[in-house]
Formats: sequence, structure tokens, C-alpha cells
Amino acid sequence: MKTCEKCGVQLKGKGNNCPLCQNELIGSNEGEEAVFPLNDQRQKETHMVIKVINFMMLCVGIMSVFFNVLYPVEIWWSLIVVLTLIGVRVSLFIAIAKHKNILKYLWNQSLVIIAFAIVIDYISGNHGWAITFVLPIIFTLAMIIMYLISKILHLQVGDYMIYLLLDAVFGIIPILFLLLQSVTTAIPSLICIMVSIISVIALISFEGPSMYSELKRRLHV
Amino acid sequence: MSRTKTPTWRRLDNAAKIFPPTSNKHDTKVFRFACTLKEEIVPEILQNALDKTMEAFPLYASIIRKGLFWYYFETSSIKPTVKEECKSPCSTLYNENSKSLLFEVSYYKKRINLEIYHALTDGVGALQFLRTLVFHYLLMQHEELKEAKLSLDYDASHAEKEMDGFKKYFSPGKSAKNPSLGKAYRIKGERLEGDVLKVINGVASVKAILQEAHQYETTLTVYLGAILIMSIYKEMARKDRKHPVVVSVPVNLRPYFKSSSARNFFSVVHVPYYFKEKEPEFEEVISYLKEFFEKELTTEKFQLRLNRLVALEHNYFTRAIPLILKKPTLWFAHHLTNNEVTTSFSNIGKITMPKELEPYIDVFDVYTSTTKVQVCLCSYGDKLSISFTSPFVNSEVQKHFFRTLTSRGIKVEISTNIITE
Repeated sequence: MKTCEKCGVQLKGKGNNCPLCQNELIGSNEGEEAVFPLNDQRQKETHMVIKVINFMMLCVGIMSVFFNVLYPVEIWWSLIVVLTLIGVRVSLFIAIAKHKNILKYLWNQSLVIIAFAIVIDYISGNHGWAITFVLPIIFTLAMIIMYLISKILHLQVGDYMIYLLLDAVFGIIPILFLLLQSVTTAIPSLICIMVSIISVIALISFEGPSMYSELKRRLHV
Repeated sequence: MSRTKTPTWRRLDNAAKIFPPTSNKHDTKVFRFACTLKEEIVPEILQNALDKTMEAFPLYASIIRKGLFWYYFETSSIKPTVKEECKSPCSTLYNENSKSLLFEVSYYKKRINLEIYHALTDGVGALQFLRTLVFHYLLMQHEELKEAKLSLDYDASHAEKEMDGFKKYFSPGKSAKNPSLGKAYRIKGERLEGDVLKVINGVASVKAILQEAHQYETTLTVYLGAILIMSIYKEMARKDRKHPVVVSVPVNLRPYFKSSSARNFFSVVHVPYYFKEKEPEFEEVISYLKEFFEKELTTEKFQLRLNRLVALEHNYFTRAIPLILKKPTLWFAHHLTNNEVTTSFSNIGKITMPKELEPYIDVFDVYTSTTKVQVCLCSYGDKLSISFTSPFVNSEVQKHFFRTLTSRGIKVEISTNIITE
């Protein structure tokens, strides 16, 4: 074991300097075993990929604003580019953060797409296509995909129920749009509402007790 | 444990509630208990011992999930597996986006490590788990021990282990006031790269330190606590001396309330030390600490503190706030209390194992993640293990601390995870 003369301590394991005062140790530590393993530091490289993506997106955004200002046309197309980039970046962030919970990812991603569509629709002349088509189609598709994934991956009720239920509850929202007559065609909304109601009924009739206990634990105060 | 369709769930106990919103990769709220044997660890046997230990601690097979208002534990079918140690000590265990167990068992040469996320249990609970694990490991590994019909002294039933002490011993009515002490001195410095925690462990003889402590007619905790305060004082700039050094001391509530819960059941006492114009005498610090502990560490005081914390949790207003808003609030509250503390000093005390196992066990260590400089102690046989953890490059407080011990003729064996070439 090596010794630090200044601190008067003995050092177990490897190393030539005193961990307390950084002075050189005397004696020999041959045959001493390391007390701790060396850490691996793999995290840093993944960060680099994200940095490159961020940088490229920023470049594209800045350039499109620049060209838009230089050659103005009727609509501010660069705004759509910038919003698309933000949408893609948010999606990427969700994909990284939620990659271990695929249904949660799917749910968050659906919301991002719908929000993105509504904003783009609004700034490009408010034609109503976002709530007529995008919103009901995405909610319907999400419900079907969630159901399929839960069966393919043999997920437990607690793991998929809450997302399916959230989707189904949100999927009933198009009723409002139908009542307010803010959609151009009723079919996508009607399908979405129908699938939502069927989903809720299916959950209640097949998984009623587990759904009840899942809701109870999720909502406990 | 049978794999049920609807897993059971439990609320987080009062102390655990603060951990999920405040833990991140800088401050993981993970602590480690380690036991070094006198022989190399065999991973397969350790795995078998772990499986057997899990039977006695079913509540450790839990994950944390988010509800609308609170976090909660849910039993999980994930089986814990033993791994060779490869991460930095006390690395992240809880990640809200992944379902993983809240503890990890790893080994390195002769050492068995148990790392636990603090929401699951406190030091005393974790120690029971590690003792059981080591006990089973040695019994499986050594034929000669099997005949001796050994047993551990920890015999709490499942219900006793799962008991929420805070809930059980809460009595509505009188409660302590919020004991705000204002800003404390904070140790600052350059941080190590990559969220690594620096561990400096010193092993000394219990007898030798007790002998020193008895010269001052005090206990080992007070004696070492006083050395810690003096070591921090030596690092303070003159302008910092207007702020007190506040030592946060976690106290195990089990002996005060006669509980044997395997969940969190502790309280924290903040001990402020105000410096006057001149350098304090060592004796002064000792007598101050002695008096403070005698006055503060009483069942009545703990009851009042427990009442305050639990009442806060039971408050209808707190309960009705959605988790998404609770998270930043709890984080901010934690941040405020964090500013009132200089260091943390935690003594787990004497660890015992059945007599027959003693020849196989070398030492027990304990340490915890921190954003400050933190000390954890535990002793096994005549070996007192003093572990400092900190995220800082500099280790001056540790230097003063151990130099004080060696200058009094106490032999100290140091080890560290950060090796400077």
C-alpha cells in the first residue's frame, strides 16, 4: 500500500497521487487491486448527432427566412418551413424521450401532428382541413394502431388502457365540430366518433374491472 | 410473486414524495450500500441469493408511475439481475420514461453493491436488504455454514415491512413550525466532468476513534461531526463566515416509534453552527453539538415534525393540484431547503451479522449521491467506514477531515473512485 506523508493516510488500490492533497505517494502498490472499475463514457457521442441535427435545422430555418425576405411572395412560406422544423424537432425529442414507452410516444406524437396541422391550416388561410380531416383521421388511426400494438406486444391492460382511453375520449371531440358546423365533410369525424365510442365500450366490457382499478390508481388524490 | 393481470399499487410515503420531482442526472438521489467480502464474488450464486432475498422483500419489485395527482409504486414482474459494476457510483436509477426497478445489485471483485433510489427506502431499510442478501450468499457459497442453522435478527412480517410509518404515527393537531434558518454557507467549486460523483472512503478503527471521542466525553457521531464542522470552517473565506455552517443529519425514526418498516421512515434535523469573530475551539463545537442533539433528538420533537410534514401532504389543496404543477412546486421547495444546508452527515451505525459469518466479511460501506459534500458512516466489527461524496474536483474538506484524524494518531486507509495519474 502506498502512503501519503503529508496526510498520513494509506491508499488502497491503484493511483500514484494522494486523493486528498494530490501529492505524490511513496511506497509501492504492486499487487494492489483496483477498488473501483473504470467508467465507460459512451454518452457523449450521441449528443454530437443531436447537435448536428439542431445545427442543420437552424441553418435551413434561417436560410428560408432570408430567401423569403429577399424574394417576397404572397404568403410567408418561410413561416411554414420554420414551424415544420419545430414540429420535426419536437417529434424527435419525444421519440428520444419516450422510446421505451411506445404507446405514450404514439399518443404524444399524434397530439403534435394535430397541433401542427391546426397551426399550419390557420396561417395558410383557415380552410378547416385540419379539423375536418387531420384530427379525426389521426385519432382514429392512433386508436387502431394502439390496439394492434397492444395485442402484438402482449401488453398488460395497465400499460395500454390509459392511452387508448385518452385517445377515445379525445376522439369524441369532433362531435363539437359537427355541432358547430365547422367541418366541410362530416364523414371522417363521424368515423372517428364511432370508433371512439366502440373503443370505450370494448374497454368497459372486456377490461372493465382492470380499467376501473387502473383509473383508481392513476387518479388517486 | 404471481403475475397478476392488474398489478397492485401503493402510495409513496411522505418522505419519498420529494424524490421523483427533484432527482436528475446531477443529483440522482441514489445511495449505495456495499459489503466487501474476503473472497471473490461468484455472480451466479449472487443471482440466486438475490432471487431468494426478493422473496422476503416483495415490495422492492416496484416501479414508479405517474398518476394525475401523485406518483405511485406499482408492483412489477421485472426480475432484478446481478451485473458487474461498470457505472459511476450512485448513477441514475429512476427515469420517468422507462420502466425499470428502483434498485440494482452489482459486484466488483470482492464487493457486493446495492444501489437504491431513495424513494423506495432509506438507509436502514436498504441495509436490511443487503444484510439478507449477504446472508443468503454466504450460506449458498459455503457448505459448512448450512449446518449451523443461522438466522438473521430481522424478522419483520411482510405487513410490518410495508408499513408506512409516517401514515401510522401521524396524529393530527399540534405540529412543528417551519424551521427556516436562512441561507447557509455553501461549498462551491469546479465540478467533475460528466456527472461523476467523487467518492473518498476512509477506513479507521472504531476503538481508536471511540477512545478519542471518550476523551472529550462524547459519542462518535458528535466527535466526527465536530471535526467535519472544523474542516469546513478551514475552507471558508472570511466573508462567508457570516453564514452558518448547517449540517443536515438524517435520523432513523424506527427506534423512536418502534417500527420495523422497510420503507422510508426518517426525519432530518438541521444543525446550524454560527461562527463568531475568532476561530472556534474544538471543545466548543463538541459541547454545542452535544447539547443540540440532546435537546432536539426526542420523540416529542420528531412527532411534531412528522405531523407538520404529513399534514402538508394531507392538505386538500396540495392533494388536488395535478402532478404536472406539483412537480415544479416540489422542486422549488426542495431547492429552497437545499440553500439552507451546507453539508449532510449521516451515521448508519453499527452493522451486525451472525457471528458465524464474521470470518467471511471484511467491511461495509455506505454513501449517497449529492450536490454538496456529504459524509456517511457505518461500522462493522472494528472497521469504521467514513465515506465522503461530492461532485467537486477539489477535496479540501476531506483533506482537513482525514488529516485531523491522522494527526491524532488514528490510522486511516483511503480509497477513491477518481484516480489522478
